[in-house]
Amino acid sequence: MNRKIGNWIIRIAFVVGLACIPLVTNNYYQYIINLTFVNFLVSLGLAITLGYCGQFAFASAGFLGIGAYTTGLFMVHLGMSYFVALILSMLVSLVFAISLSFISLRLSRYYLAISTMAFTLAMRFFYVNAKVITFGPSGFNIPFPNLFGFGFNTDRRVYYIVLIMVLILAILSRNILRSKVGRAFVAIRDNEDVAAAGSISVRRYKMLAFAMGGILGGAAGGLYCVVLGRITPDEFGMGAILLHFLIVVIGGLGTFLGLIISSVLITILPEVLRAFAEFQEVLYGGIIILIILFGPEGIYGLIQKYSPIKWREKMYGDV
Amino acid sequence: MYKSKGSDSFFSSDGVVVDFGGLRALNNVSITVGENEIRGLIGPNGAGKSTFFNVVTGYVKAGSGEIFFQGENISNFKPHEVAQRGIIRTFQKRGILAGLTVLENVLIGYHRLLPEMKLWHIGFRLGRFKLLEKKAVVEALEVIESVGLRDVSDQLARDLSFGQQTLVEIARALISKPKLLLLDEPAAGLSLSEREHVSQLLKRLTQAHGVSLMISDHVMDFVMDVCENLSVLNFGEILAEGPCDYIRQHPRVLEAYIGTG
Repeated sequence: MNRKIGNWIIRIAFVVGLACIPLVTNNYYQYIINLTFVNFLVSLGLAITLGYCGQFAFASAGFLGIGAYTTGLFMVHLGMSYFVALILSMLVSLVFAISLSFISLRLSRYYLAISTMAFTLAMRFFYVNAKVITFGPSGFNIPFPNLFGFGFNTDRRVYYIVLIMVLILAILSRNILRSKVGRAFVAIRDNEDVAAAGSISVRRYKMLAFAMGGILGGAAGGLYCVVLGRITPDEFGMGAILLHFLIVVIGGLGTFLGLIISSVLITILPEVLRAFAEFQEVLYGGIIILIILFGPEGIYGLIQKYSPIKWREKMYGDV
Repeated sequence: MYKSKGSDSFFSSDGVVVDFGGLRALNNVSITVGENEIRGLIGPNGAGKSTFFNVVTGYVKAGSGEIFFQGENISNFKPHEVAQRGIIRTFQKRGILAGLTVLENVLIGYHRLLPEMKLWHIGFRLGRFKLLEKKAVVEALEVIESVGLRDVSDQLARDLSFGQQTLVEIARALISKPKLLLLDEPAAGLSLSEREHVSQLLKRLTQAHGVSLMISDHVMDFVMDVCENLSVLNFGEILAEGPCDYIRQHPRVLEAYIGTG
């Protein structure tokens, strides 16, 4: 019982700590922190389909774009409230995700990777060319979210929208992963035949993994557009695919803590390295190679190897 | 006992035929298994033992013939549907899930018993989730204890020996409360002492759980030790069926195993 209370104190302190971040930041730092949260959320979606469920689906950038564009365009064209648009964009992204999951039932590995990348790039071409709807390659400005007259017009204010959405979705995801669902995902990743022999419907759980990836990606997109203030099609192309992939791999495929750390690292690293001007990209690449060399199982693997306490992320609920 | 066919028996395959390209892997195989029976399925390598398990559990489609389980025609069921009905199998090449611990591997077997745990119970950690999950973990630990893996329950399954992995698979099968358990070469690759341990375990557990069992193996001693009745497969056909002593002296079985001079 004492441990339970202790856990709750840690959790509440963690959330209060996160809520206090804007007290110590300036606009630039706050922007980077907002970006970190968004990157974490979209990478979590990719981590579920790719890391946990083992499906080579590189559609996270596609879902991110759908989330960002639907949210932004619903606000601009239809004058919709940001918060309504955000929820709707998650649903739109979910519909795309479930449609894509039918592909994953037929294709696997490299073929699935190629077809999902093609989906992402096709969406980008749509944003570029459907100028009447999407304003073409130069993108468009996102209006400030407004809730009962309160304008979220600074990075610090936007942070609270981001924080609340990310906390809700991350906790729900974590709960779902630490249960029979997460176990089913990993079973499908490790051996589909064995999963089916455990009476797991491989088809249903693959679709669920895609659906979770779609909702998380869509939500991240809806947050991303206000964090950026202006979106262009280039945000949702090959670069974004690689960024999310990098975060998931550096974190350690299919781990929660690793993903949090690597989201922070991969988002902040380029900003820190800005000081080295023309060497920025070289150093960035070099550091990533070093991480992979020393921890082929990502940050999570490094923690397990060097941490004095033997600790492993569990795949079952606290009981 | 061996004559009863169709939907009135506990389990029966009726004239099952499986072709792989030009090769007939199973030819008109009819096997009936009664409730609480322990049946051995023996035969030389390539006789079709694993193919028979695969066709029963839905991994391979039968070209013709039908399979009945508790009055239901399961011929066209998908693997997970067969498992949901209570026919649980293990794999010849050890179906362990490398990224999961022993406990989590065993919990996979409990999936069958958790249909009433819904996504919202899980996501919001409702009482229903906590109740069922706790029951699952407690029962999993009990089963792990009973197969003798208590000390390694938190280790990754990939770090265990082949013999221990066999036990993980058996534990995962047992926790799902199977009605018919198909063990595909459980003795293969085990040392003599491990083999003895597994055979003791199977005898003890099947008595305790009241489960029908089919064991395929080409290790004759092991199968004859555990099973009451045997079916002998050779080149995809049933060669003989009957109690162990009868099979041991059956001329055609001897011929298939030892060859004629």
